[in-house]
Amino acid sequence: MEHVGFKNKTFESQEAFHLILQATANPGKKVKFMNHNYSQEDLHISSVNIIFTLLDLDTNVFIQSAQENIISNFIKLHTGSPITKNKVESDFAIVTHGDLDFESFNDGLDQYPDKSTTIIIQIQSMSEGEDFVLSGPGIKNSNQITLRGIPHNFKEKINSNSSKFPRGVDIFLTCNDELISLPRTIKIIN
Amino acid sequence: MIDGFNFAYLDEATKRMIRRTILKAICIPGYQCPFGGREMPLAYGWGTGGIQVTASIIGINDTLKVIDQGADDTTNAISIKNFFKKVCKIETTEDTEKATIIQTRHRIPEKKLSENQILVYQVPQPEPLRRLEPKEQETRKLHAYEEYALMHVKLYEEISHFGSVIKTYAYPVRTNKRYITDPSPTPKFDNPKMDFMEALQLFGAGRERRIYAIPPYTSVQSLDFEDHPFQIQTWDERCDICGSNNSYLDEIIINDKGEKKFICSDTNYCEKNLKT
Repeated sequence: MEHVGFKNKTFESQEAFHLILQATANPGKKVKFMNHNYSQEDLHISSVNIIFTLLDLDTNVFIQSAQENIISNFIKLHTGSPITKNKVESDFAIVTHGDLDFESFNDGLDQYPDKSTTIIIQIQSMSEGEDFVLSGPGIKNSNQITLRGIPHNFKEKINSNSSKFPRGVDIFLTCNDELISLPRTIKIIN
Repeated sequence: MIDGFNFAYLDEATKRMIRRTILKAICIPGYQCPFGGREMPLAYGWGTGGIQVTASIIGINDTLKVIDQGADDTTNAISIKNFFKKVCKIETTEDTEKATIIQTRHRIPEKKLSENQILVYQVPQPEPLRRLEPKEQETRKLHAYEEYALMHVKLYEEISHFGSVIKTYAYPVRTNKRYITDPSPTPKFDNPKMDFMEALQLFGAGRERRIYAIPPYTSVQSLDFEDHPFQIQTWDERCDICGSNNSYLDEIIINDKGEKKFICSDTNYCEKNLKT
């Protein structure tokens, strides 16, 4: 690759951001990235779009993956983000393998809850698997999603995260070219 | 588009920083997120915060509407629209329904907004508690510990002095049953429109360097007391132009004798109402 990040940074990142914004304002809504021009074996297309759109020199990144070195080099090359081994220090976390608990990440401060980690979790499927019914700001009544390859006790973890509001982590679930955003306000009611 | 400027004026690193802030703001409805506000080519107080938010979300396919006190044709609205035409070459409109992004100074359009629209507010003072507590460190704590007695005492005192809450604009609201939020100096007439609004609401305060947000379908309650429920303004008059009796009316003095007329503050609503 001759360039780093998006080739046409201005427009490609605006398009991607528009989708991330839609997903976050409407939790549970599945959005699809149309930009398939950038890929990395161990990262999904949607993860790459998020990385290129939101990460830069100002964001500390934590990586949990079987391919940690490859992903770490990819992120360093394309975004310049410092990689950290310390979950609490991370602004963004990228999780491609293994279980995780949200507690060990940064859930912000009482006075600055925005200083918390945003966790990008790569999952296996958004069309089959376990059903979850979501409710919270951004959702008209309730919203059902179907997920596979998520952390153990997902429901309990999400609900204990949202019970800490305004503190808590925010979550992006990514699968192939799709994204579902789960802000800390969201509860799984079923 | 003029040469020598990036699309939407801001550089990409700044947009990225503002975009991250907007996302966090949506995740914590009503919480004021600090951001590295930039100097814009217009004075503070003319919408620098709103412009930075709009510049960070706008794309080539967006249609922008800008209103100032409900009007599409006032100096501030026209200048901001011209600014974005120059730096983005995007479509602008006066039609509320056709706009994908509406930047507003102190009104919410009368027409109900839809899910694929974004309302961007220009905010002079994002902190609803500032007049009660001047120190930022203190108001941060008050928000953190949900210690809102000060605000309720203020409203109570207004009722005990004047018989009712006298605040008619920037009337404080509670977002998602948690943060007390300043709706920017919109008339309290507009407060009920914010509750479970279908459009995403973003607030940008340039001088104070704060961004906050209210996601769609989020509870927004105006503060009140059981025995003194919140009420919006009403008029005995109708709009002199379109005859509307349910929109927000501006009082216009028309001659030296002090005679006056009432007209809709929302010019696009008035125009459409006149046609039908």
